[in-house]
Amino acid sequence: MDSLRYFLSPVVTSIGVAGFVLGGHFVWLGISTFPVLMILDLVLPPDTDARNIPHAWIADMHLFLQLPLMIGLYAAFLISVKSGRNDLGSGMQLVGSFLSIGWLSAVPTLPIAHELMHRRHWFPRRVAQLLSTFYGEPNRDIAHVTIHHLHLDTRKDGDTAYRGQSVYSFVFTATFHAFADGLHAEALSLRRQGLSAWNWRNKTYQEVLLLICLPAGCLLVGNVTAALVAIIAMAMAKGLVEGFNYYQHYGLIRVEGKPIELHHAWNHLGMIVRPIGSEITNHIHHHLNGYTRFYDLKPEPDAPRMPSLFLCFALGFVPPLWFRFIAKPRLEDWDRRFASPEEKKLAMAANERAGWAQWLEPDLSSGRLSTR
Amino acid sequence: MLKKWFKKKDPFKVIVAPHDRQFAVTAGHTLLESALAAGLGFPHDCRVGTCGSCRYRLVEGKISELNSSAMGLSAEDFQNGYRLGCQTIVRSDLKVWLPELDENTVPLAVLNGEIRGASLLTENIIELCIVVDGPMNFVPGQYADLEVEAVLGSRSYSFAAPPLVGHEDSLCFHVRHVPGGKFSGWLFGGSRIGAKIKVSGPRGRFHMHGGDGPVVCIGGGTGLAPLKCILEAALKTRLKRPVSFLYGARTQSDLYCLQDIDTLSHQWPVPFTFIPVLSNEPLDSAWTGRRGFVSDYVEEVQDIKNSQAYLCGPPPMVDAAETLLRRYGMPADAIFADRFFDRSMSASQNQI
Repeated sequence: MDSLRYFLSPVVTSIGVAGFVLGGHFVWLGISTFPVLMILDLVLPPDTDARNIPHAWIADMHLFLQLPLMIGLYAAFLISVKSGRNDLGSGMQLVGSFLSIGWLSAVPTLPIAHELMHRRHWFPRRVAQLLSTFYGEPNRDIAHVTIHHLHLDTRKDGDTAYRGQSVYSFVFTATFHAFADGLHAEALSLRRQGLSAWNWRNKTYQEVLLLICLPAGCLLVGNVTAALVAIIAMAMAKGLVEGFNYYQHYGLIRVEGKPIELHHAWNHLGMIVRPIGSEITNHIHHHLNGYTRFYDLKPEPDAPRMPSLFLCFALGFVPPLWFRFIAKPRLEDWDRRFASPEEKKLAMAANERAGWAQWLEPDLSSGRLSTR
Repeated sequence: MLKKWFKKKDPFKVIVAPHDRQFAVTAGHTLLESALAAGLGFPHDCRVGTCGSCRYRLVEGKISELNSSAMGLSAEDFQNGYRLGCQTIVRSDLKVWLPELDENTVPLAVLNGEIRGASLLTENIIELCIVVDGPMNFVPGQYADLEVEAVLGSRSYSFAAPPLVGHEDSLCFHVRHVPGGKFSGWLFGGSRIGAKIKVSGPRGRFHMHGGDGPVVCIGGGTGLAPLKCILEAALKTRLKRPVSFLYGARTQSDLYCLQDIDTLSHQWPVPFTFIPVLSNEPLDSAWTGRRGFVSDYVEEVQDIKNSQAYLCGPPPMVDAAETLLRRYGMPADAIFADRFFDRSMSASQNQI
């Protein structure tokens, strides 16, 4: 039964496909799944249960369905444009088209790609690369593995938002770091193998090719506007990917070189976000062992938690509200209950840089960091 | 020909030089994973191909890689034939050379068990004894997750006694009755002898590290369990390092395992000092020992700069002790801590 939860992903993507098949204003069907999922995640109780998966292949099915579905989504979009069922000259249908494609290219595509990029076989990894093209970053696995998994919660990690950083700033800094770190890692790897960084084996060539292929395909099959829709959708999806990523490690601190522990990630244990995210929001154990299958990730209700990811996402659009009602209270709690003494010091330094209050003060008589 | 193609293949074998060890490779798993599953102490850390901890030199055999090992190795190491265990998929029988083995690596096991004993050590600490349906080896200092049907989710408890040779299926934990605690409430709520329990472990990295200098143990509450376990295991190896053991409790009635600690103290081959500190003992009681917080007495420890510290218990106690140890000159990498969180602290914090 637990395996069936993950079929939410292909259902949601299929709704988007159906929207383009029907055409007209139904092109908004894909993006309409976002508020529905959000409301459900908010009203349903939290889900802290471990999964019981007697047959792994059933749970894995949704991972391998996503690529054909995304191809199907684009195919349905292009057919709807060519047939006239989707008039991109109409503002409503143009906007509905890129919103639907953009949303589905991020969710559930990114979480599925993330799971696949950590599998131990070339095939799922290749599928992950193709899926990642839809949100504009075919080589996401490189920076994700070489930088994020090694340096998370430190200043070296572009995927850890620093205290005081807004989601708007983070989308740009994370995007920059993802591409720059990936380029650097590939070049370094080749040089260590005794090869030139320009060697044909450099995966950057594949990345560029894939990024061109998608809009180029839309141009060839559709028209210029369809190609523009693809580009806008990819950019929007990238923004959404980093937008959701912002809440995974927001403001957390780790001393460089110290082991990753249970308190080094935020957990969002929503009834909807867990399956639609392929457990990516329940992921601290993933950092402790990246080969743990998504359904084997053990929820940690004792570990630092955030409210519904959808709520965080919505509130994050207004940074002062996000900081006041969620970020600061949760980080203050984290600093008091989870952070080690060294992490507390780094946390207060981060607060100072952010212009936030120093909610932990050093007790000079005993060396304890006490709370106000 | 069809038989040859579809015949189930024997697993590949890996010989690990110069340690004279070998293991079989699990299909679909990396070299590192297969080694760990076989109980081999293959050094590792990040497991994603970037830290270089799982480097080995390929002597014979064929492999493929998930990502190039060059990502996590120096150019020199890569050119000299080193590869990363976490990125290696084995394609034939192998011979590898591994610089050293990590003796503190034990594979995870999930075992079904039965509660055989639940004796009161104090009015709110139970010694829980479980027999499981297979051996569970662990490194003293580690913990296991315990789960019963009556309580949603598992709870983590440190092993309270070192593994007994020939009785590796007998496990022991100290469980404190946490106000509002679901698991501890269930355990204290009636006779649980014979109840079924699932044990998943061992987990964690808290353990005795090598060294020649003195050892400082600082514990509070059931933080005594892993420290006692570590020291009892160390005694068996005749460890010759002086020990200062500071233990914090609220009142005299909260002190426990004093006989076991006394035995340790008498059998320890070099000086062993036990200092209990009570924070809430009535002033007019007969107690003549230390009063206050256990961290207040860190300054009494001799030769802090050359010692290693093992801290275990409630986070505020551990934090305070760590801060003071650093202040008195103990290097950060000589301090090992295991902070005990309890779920009742977090329940109200996670409401929105």
